[in-house]
Amino acid sequence: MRNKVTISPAADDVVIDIRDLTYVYNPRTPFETKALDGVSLEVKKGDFFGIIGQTGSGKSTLISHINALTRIQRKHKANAGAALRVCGIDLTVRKPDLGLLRGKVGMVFQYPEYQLFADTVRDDVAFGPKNLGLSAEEIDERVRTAIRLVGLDYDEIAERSPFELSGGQKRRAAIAGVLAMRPEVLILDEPTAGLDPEGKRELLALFRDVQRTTCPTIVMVSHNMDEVAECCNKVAVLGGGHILGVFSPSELFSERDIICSLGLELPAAVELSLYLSEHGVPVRPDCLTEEELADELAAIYGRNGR
Amino acid sequence: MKDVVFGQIYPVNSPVHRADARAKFIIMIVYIVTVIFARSFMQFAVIAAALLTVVLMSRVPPLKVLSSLKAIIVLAVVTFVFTVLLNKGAGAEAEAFYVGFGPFCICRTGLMTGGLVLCRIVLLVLGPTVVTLTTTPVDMADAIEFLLSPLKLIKVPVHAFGMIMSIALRMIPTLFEETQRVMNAQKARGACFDHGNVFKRIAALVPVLIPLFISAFKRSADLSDAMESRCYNGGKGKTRMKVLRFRVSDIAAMLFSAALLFFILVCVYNWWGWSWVSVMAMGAA
Repeated sequence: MRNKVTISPAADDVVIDIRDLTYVYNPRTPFETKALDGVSLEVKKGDFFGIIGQTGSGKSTLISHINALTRIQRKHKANAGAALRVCGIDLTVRKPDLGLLRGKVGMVFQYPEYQLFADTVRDDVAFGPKNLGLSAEEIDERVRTAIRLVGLDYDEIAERSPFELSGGQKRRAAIAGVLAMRPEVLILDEPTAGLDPEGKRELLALFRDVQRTTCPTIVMVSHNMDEVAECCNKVAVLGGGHILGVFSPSELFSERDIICSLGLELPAAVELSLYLSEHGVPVRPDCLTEEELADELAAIYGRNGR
Repeated sequence: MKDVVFGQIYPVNSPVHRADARAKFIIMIVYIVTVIFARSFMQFAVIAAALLTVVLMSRVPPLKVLSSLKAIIVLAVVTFVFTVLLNKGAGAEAEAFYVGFGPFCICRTGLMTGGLVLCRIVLLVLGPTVVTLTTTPVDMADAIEFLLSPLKLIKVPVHAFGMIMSIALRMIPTLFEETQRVMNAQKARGACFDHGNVFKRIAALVPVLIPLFISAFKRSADLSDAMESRCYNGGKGKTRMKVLRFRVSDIAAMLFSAALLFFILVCVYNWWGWSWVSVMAMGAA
């Protein structure tokens, strides 16, 4: 028997509190696999929290616990001391208020455009707020705001079929469908997958906007280190169902070994600044983003810069 | 691993799993005929012993095989009860044991017949179960295509059937995964699939079915493009990546099943009047 872990009440600003969480797929069959193995994680209000790891490292399982699409395996003995609390809702109980939770936690899946279904963009974006049981005026207001927030033109697009839109517009419409629920926490599963660089940049800018205006806490799963370096203030590294560590981006990219052992690549800016500093250019070797590096270089060569 | 969850296959390595799917299919058909012909407990015992040997060889837990009976438990019980109650045997006087009430009765003949019917149903379910537990759906589709191939003579597009079957089987787990994904996405937007009356529930499925259909059409268009770009033009001249070959063991197993069928037929009809056959008739109704 393991010792019962005493659970101290989480501080107010901790939005997602995961402790000692284990999840096993296909228990008691030849396919049994441990997706999560004693994972603990704390996301505070205002975090742009990154989760990185290889495919099969348990990222998806972890984030789907956060809005209870995957329920915690309460009967599993490894979960005896587990805690799972999101926006003040305890998810270890048998019947948590899922309606309330889904209103508070918005989830943007990989390729969210595949969830579009309605005749018009407006109806599709209204699906979430409708499920929350809001009044017609409130829904209309939210739909307008959400569509504008994702950078689409409401008047032009609201009455069109979502299937007529371009790829990037579809994705934005789908994201608007999640934002229209006004979540307190937004979970993004590889939100930029399959977009061109320009589309990626715009989408990330959009998420930073969202964080400033409506939804203070964002959790993002990503493969792309550039994205992580640019957006996140904390990054959890997941491997083999364990949390290998939670770092700030600058800490993370100095841990080259971890990044490489996961088969991931350093951000291009970090790679370049490392290369330059190794070859005698006096730049800081820990520039994280293109902008930082450009500023650094401008300062050194002093031509276009300050 | 997600790809193999579909079907019942119990994935271990055993002689039975490795055997040629066509051989297993043929043996299954012979086995079914054998079970239908058998008509005494002794004969069923012989068949059950043969089946048990195969189960032990396959390394599938016997309980796993037996659990397939859950699906037919109602059918089996109802059949047994009615056979017993309605079978009057040779009548109240001639029977060694007879309890009558109203139009029903329980007598020795009835109980025996009921027991035999029960044995037959159970064995009929267990045999094919062993085959599905040890054969991948794709192998099964290949086997069916092969066994239907004589129909080519009367211009039945057997290859197309086989291809359709393999693609359908291949796509089931994919579509299943897709369904899960779309359902999760809509659940995350507050959709509820287990609330309200029938109509509400059906309406709740629309946001799942539409994205699902769209992606299924897209997938099939992609697949047909992929097949065409690899010069697929129906079955003509198509070679197989996995060539099915009968091995000695497969042929031996088929011969053995044929022998079992012959043995049961001899027991039932006793064409040559052998005296030992009466032993095998023990426990006949």
